[in-house]
Amino acid sequence: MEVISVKDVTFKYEGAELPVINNLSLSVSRGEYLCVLGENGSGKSTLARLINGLLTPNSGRVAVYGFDTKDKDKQFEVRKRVGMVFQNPDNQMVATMVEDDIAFGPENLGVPSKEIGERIDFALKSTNMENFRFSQGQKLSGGQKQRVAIAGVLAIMPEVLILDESTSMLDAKGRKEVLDVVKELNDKGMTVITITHYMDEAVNASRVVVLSKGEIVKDGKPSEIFKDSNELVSYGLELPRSTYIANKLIKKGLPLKEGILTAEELSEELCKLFQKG
Amino acid sequence: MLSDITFGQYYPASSFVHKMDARIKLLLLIAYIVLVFVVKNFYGFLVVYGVLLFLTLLAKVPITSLIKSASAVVFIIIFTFILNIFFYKTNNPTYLFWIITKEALEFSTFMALRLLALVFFSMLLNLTTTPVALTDGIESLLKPLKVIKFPVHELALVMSIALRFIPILMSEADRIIMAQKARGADFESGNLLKRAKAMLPVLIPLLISSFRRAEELGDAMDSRCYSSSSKRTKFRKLKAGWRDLVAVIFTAIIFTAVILLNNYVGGLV
Repeated sequence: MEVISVKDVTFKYEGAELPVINNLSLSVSRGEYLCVLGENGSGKSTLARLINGLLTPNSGRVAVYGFDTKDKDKQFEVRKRVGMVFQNPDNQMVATMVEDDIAFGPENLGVPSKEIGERIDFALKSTNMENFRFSQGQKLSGGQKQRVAIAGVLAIMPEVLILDESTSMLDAKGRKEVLDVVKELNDKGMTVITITHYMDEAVNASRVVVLSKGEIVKDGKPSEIFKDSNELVSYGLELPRSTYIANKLIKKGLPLKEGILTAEELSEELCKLFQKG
Repeated sequence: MLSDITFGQYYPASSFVHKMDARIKLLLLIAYIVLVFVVKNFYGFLVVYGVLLFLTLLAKVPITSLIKSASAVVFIIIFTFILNIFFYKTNNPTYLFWIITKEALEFSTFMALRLLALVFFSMLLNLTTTPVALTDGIESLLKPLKVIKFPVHELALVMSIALRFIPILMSEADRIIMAQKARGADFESGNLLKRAKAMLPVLIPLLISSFRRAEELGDAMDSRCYSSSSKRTKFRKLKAGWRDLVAVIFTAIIFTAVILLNNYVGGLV
């Protein structure tokens, strides 16, 4: 089932010469884990903002569950379904205490106070943050802050979760915490769109879209996308480390399988090869 | 450094005062501020400070944190004390020595005691009430102003967001100062004007980054369906209970006691 449909969309920031998004079409199905890759200035963050209606296209149409993002009356219907987590964990928290911050979304929607409590329970549980309910947001680590931000979005009960470079300001540990939570949510049926320039994040995804100069230049499974390293480099992207090493080894004549994405896969393949002699 | 300064010095504890409704606490604070200025004689102050001590013990907050908070205003208190000693005039003054009169000394002492009590009472509210509860309380108390289209909810939200961002901006200022120092900026030498000018390369980046933060926060709030419509609900409901009733009655008794003391003992003992 198609949940998000972007059709022939062009978007230009006021005063800019060139459009950031250029006649772009994209369809996202329910339950997908879509990773949008692109270098700085490729238009990937703009695409995210177009999908939840923070921006509206100059031409073309963006529809979320059939609701046109241009329709001002239906703006809430769009945002209720598409939750978005931003880059800087400090700039998304409205309240001082974790619990109050998560309550912000449902309060906006007019959810009765008793149900807000239940939603907070659910959101904290889904992000493994139960122990931090009464903590001061300021005192949490980066990864924990971003998980609170995800919890704040989950309390709105969205169908789609967009992460706009949400791990770029985190350390390795924080990034893993956040990505684990996102993976878990996706396994439970949530549609996920992550916007990033970290190739390693694309490994979790079920589908990867590469954006360059406001256009989609590649669209497919991660293992397919990472086959052609030269082409990716020309879009300003870097391969996941393991894929990079595997591709090099293949070039040197080692009979490894194509489309290796993770270190585990690579080591397993190498071991197999070693056992064969 | 800068980020060590804490605002909204909430002291977490479970006490009678902590459990009170923030609105009632705010109203009672106003009552006590009025009381501090109603007091006319020494016995009245005895009652006021007795109440303060009692409330501090009841709230289970350390007396030291109250005294520490007073250190911030000690300068103002001393300043007004000295001014009052020299400029207080009465009709038939009793000179103690030089130009110091007994009346002026009394008046100044009372004024200092008033200011000190005022700070202590406000601090007690700050220590026992979370910033969220405080802004909720203010929002609720100002609700009647909605009739004249005063943006009560927006004001409360602005207040709570400002409170939240103070420590963040503080630590950011710290970082910028460090970065500018690394580039050879000098903040410590020169006269006041020179030093103020030296702060410019700190303030401008701080201003720019706070605008950026504001924009991102705005986007985040928008995506979480924020609107100031009346449809909004509140997760935390303020509820006045028996504690608040007890506190109001207690305050009324104290008030009456002080007024009676004023009438029977008279002013300025």
